[in-house]
Amino acid sequence: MTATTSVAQSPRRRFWGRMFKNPLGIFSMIWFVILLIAWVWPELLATHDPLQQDVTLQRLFEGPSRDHWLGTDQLGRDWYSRVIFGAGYAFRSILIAMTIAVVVGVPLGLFSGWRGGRVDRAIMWVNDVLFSLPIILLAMAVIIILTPSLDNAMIGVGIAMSTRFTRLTRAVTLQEKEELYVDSARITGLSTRTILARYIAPNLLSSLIVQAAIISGAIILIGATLSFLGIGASLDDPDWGVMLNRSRELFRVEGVWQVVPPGMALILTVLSFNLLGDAIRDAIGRDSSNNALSITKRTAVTAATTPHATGPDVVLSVRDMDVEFPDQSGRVSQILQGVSLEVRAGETLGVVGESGSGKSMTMLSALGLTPAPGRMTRGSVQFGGRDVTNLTESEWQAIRGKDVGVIFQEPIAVLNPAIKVGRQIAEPLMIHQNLSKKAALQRAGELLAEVRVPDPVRRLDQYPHEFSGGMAQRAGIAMALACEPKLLIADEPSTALDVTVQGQILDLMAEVQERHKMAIILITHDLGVIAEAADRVLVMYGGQVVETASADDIFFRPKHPYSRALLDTMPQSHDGHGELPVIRGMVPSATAWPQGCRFAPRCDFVTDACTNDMPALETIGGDLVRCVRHGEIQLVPEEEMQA
Amino acid sequence: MSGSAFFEVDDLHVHFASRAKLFRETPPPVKAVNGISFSIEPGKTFGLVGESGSGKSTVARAILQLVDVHAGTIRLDGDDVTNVPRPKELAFRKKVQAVLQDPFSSLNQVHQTRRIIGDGITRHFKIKPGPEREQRIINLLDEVGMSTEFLDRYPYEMSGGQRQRVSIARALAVEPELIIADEATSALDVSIQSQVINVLQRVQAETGVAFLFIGHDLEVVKHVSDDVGVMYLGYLVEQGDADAIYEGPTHPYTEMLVASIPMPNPIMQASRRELRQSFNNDAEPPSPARMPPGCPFENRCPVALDICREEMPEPSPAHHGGQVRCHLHTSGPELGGESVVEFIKTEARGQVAV
Amino acid sequence: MAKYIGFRLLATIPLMFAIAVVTFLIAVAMEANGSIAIQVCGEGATPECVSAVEENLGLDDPIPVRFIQWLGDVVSGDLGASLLDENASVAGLIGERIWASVSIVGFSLVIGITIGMVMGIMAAIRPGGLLDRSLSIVAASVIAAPGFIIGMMLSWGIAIELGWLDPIGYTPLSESVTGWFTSILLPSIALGMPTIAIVQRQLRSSMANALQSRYVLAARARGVGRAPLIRRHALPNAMVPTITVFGFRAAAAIGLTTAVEIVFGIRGMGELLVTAILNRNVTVLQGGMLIVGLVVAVVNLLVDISYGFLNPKVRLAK
Repeated sequence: MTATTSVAQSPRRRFWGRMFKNPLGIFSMIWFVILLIAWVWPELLATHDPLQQDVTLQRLFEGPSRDHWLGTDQLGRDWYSRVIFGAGYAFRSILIAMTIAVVVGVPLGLFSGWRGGRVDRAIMWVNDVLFSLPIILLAMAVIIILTPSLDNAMIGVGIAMSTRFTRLTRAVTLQEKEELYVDSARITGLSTRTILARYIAPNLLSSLIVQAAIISGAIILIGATLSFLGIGASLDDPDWGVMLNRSRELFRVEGVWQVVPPGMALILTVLSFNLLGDAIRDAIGRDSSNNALSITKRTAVTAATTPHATGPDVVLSVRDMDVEFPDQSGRVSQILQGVSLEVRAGETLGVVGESGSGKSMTMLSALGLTPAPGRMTRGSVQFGGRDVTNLTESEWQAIRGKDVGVIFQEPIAVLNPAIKVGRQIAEPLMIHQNLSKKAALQRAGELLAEVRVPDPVRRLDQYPHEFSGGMAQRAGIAMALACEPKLLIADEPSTALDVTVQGQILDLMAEVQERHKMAIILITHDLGVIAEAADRVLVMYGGQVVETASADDIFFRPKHPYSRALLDTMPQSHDGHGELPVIRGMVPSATAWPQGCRFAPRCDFVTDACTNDMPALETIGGDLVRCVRHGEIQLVPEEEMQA
Repeated sequence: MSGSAFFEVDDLHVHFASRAKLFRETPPPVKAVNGISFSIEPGKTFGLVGESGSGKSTVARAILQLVDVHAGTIRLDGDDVTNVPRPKELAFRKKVQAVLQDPFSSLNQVHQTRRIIGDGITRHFKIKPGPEREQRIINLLDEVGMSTEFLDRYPYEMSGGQRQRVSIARALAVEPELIIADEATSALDVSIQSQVINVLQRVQAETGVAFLFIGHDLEVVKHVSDDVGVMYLGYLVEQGDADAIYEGPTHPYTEMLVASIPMPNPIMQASRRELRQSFNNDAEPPSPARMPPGCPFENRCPVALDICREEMPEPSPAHHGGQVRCHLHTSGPELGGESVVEFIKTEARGQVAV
Repeated sequence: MAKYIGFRLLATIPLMFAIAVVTFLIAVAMEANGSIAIQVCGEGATPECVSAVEENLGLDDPIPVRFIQWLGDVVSGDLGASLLDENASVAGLIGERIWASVSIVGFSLVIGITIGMVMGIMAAIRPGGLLDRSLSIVAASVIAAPGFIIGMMLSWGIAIELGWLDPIGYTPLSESVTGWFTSILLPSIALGMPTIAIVQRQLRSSMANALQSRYVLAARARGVGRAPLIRRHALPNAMVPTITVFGFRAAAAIGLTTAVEIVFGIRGMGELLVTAILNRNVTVLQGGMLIVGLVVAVVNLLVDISYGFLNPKVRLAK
């Protein structure tokens, strides 16, 4: 759904707010502060001189004690103090390698990405070759050319790591370069330097910080590995890797404790850098896709109070459906409120509304497909006379695709890019009709021919990216029709297509409905599409049904001010070039529904009564309308009434 | 089409080179725009309409110096502004601004409204951030119907309609002579679209700025435009007075486009559908990388002639005072610039075989 | 597909050439230091000794000529003799040791991808569940742990305390299959554990993305059950980024095996390279790096080929 106005909060405050809410982020920040102190002022934390040996040889290989918090090593030196001093070596490594990596990598990536073309390809080829070589090997190459030392090794690591920054910077630059706001900046007349520094760089910064945190961890790991191999830090230094190098023979004899102090320091440090990177990424993220993963628990659904539509021809009947979504902070928004609808065999029900009106959510929830973490909290759904409100996922599987087919808005995005189109059309046939793969594929070819895809047999063997939007939508219709469902739900089936293709798709749907006598629910924002195809119309606004009526009544005798206003704002309703009628204000968001009638703030007929209580959905001669003033207001001009 | 027009595009061609491939012949360039000519008078609006792949946005990007022009000239106030060299770019930017399609990505997410609008003022009028610039920004916001509370908003704190108003204010900030609106209202809800269209028209009435309004919805384009051009696969197939073209199209593709727009009225739509179905044809447009030698609409055209398969027609005068590129007017039935509506209604049913 | 593999094979040639150039340049850089001759003749070497060594190594010729000669030797399998022992051919030294390293890296990668995939899928089935959350904490910790520390822990726990396996040594495959297997088991697990964690993490997150996609929603709307949804719809798409990450890890593992081998007292490429660095034995180092570089190139090739199987767009574009 569309993003809407939220309470203004500066990005910086939101960032720290999220960081401090993340326990792993807090852990890594605390560890980070301790390490910083250990680096800048190790004497503050250390209890002993890290190099002070026990000349008496009495206190070697000790375990933790009051005097030696982490015990002593083979020379009786204090493990705790040695580990504290080791932090300095780790940070020195990061400083050297990171400086080289950023200074070389970022400008190169920025240049390569912005420049593009051959220069870019040449730079990236060399970069990718270096990128694919093990970093340890590159560090070894530098060490042997210079002399073995941790600082020299870090020069090699820095060069190797620069390839990571080049890649990232280039990728972000390429991506941002394509964004319209960069075009806009050029159109405004800003110089390339300004665009790079003030437009691209800020958008790059967040990715770079995340990458830098994770790479810092990797630098420490590699530094420790080289020191462990004896080609990094000097063997006299209190460096974690060197300590582990000394322990590697001793642990077999003296026990594993000899590995633990430096090992744990190393692991915790790398871990905290990784966690810090993750926490920063989560805190920066504008969308919180990760939170949407949490499982929605099945909860009891409050029963509907309105009786269901009855009759042998009622295919789908929904009553009093509420759907709720908790947001990140745990606040619950009601996306749908008291939605009721029914559709009969052979009939097309048009559902119309603007973005955020809840029309797609109605369809998904009626099929038990409410996306997590949303859930249906009230209502009742009957399919072919059977109560399906509380079906389990596997019970639903037997219905979806067999008794009800769905056509979606983005025809290419709903096809699996890795599976041949024929195989995808065959899928429901194999599941619901137990056809063999061969028989199902043959039937898929017939279905493609039925929706008039040219050369259907060859098309079966193609992948979705080889289809145009119009052809992909035909394949989508074939898929939905495969098991001859009783109900076809089409969610904006032609919106993403060119207008001349839209007509073909609508004709096709009318044709298959005629042939199979199915019920169709057609969801659209376009009243023109409704006028073309719908028998009955349901108008939605702000997660509610505001009016249902026959198609003729909606267009010629609307009862709800919103239905009328929606019709008026369409440019088709006007000849000439004068000012268009508007609906003032903006579409409300589910986090802040207006008090009373949800359309009241934008309505021309608003009175005090409208803003006090939410109007009920009233039945008037078989039609429904949600407006307290429906009897008293005149929505149809006099001359049209007479016509 | 006189040489003295305020803004003029003459025989514009834009090609995109295909990337060279190892061991294989380099494919020919994709011809995105093929010989397009039109002009705009001061304070008027020229509408360019077409479906995806028609090249309408490429025309905008060519004028805006975002892609290179292959051949042809663009003139503004009599000056040649085709592929403007760097030193002259700033002066060109002062005169031509744009409102782009996607209200999300056309504003930098890390900048507040004040900065988005103010950058152009500082750049072109050398007014540093301060009370004078602030007042100008407030005036611009007022012009697009927004209050001062939006000064400190980030794009993600605004709705699509509000973001598009900020885009308009940004374009107006440099006091341009021409604004190119590329699908400026396409991503908006109907009720918001009409608000933004009204803002654009009010701005034009107040400042006298000319518009090049680009869109895929003929109804919207017709509503805001004085003249329109209809594009199909890189060609301008018909152009002329907006209302006259809508009422009496002379090119079969224009007619198909009109017939394809659903009317929000079941009775009118029933007759439109009938008209639309006379184009009953499941053929797809040819790929821009492999264009046929003749008219690109030939395979979808219900009244195509043999000659249509072989050569691309040249522009000829049409009844609405504009031009049309279709053989029907010069060969075969020789409609001579008259509307194609009645002809298609009768011919399409009897299946022409000229 | 054959065409695609052929194309990738051709694309590997420039990569191998680049690796050869880099390796060659290491020697050039070292002699610019004058460190090669010093290594052979000792500190305070006589000029006679230095020039004799340089002539012996053919250092008088111009660099491009030497590169072509060197490359010719390399292609014919001659990597020269060890700088410190004229009787030891570099190719022979590498031949003695490479199979231990290849066994450990190869088996660690097998462990990494199989167990990593199983755990990744298990976590993705119930995102946010107990299993998912505990696996993600374990994975984060294991990724932070270098293989040689895990190796010391395993060696102490399983080999020394429990006495199940030998803590050190390597048995070639030609001697005994079970001996070979038990000797590489612990080092492979040590090197493979971070790989498992990396694969698990990546697969879990790309599976989660795939399961949220529109095509999975559409498949559910067709009545596709949970198991085929994961196996047929989500997994192939989620594998593409996972293979990328796995490829990076494979290259890293080739470098990191050096430290693991030393923990387990295995005389593999790790020991050879480290000794060569400490002795500044340039010919051995050059040969060793070249061979390791070629192994990396082969791994990259395999990763590229597996893209072709997973992603039809990649395959058909060529």
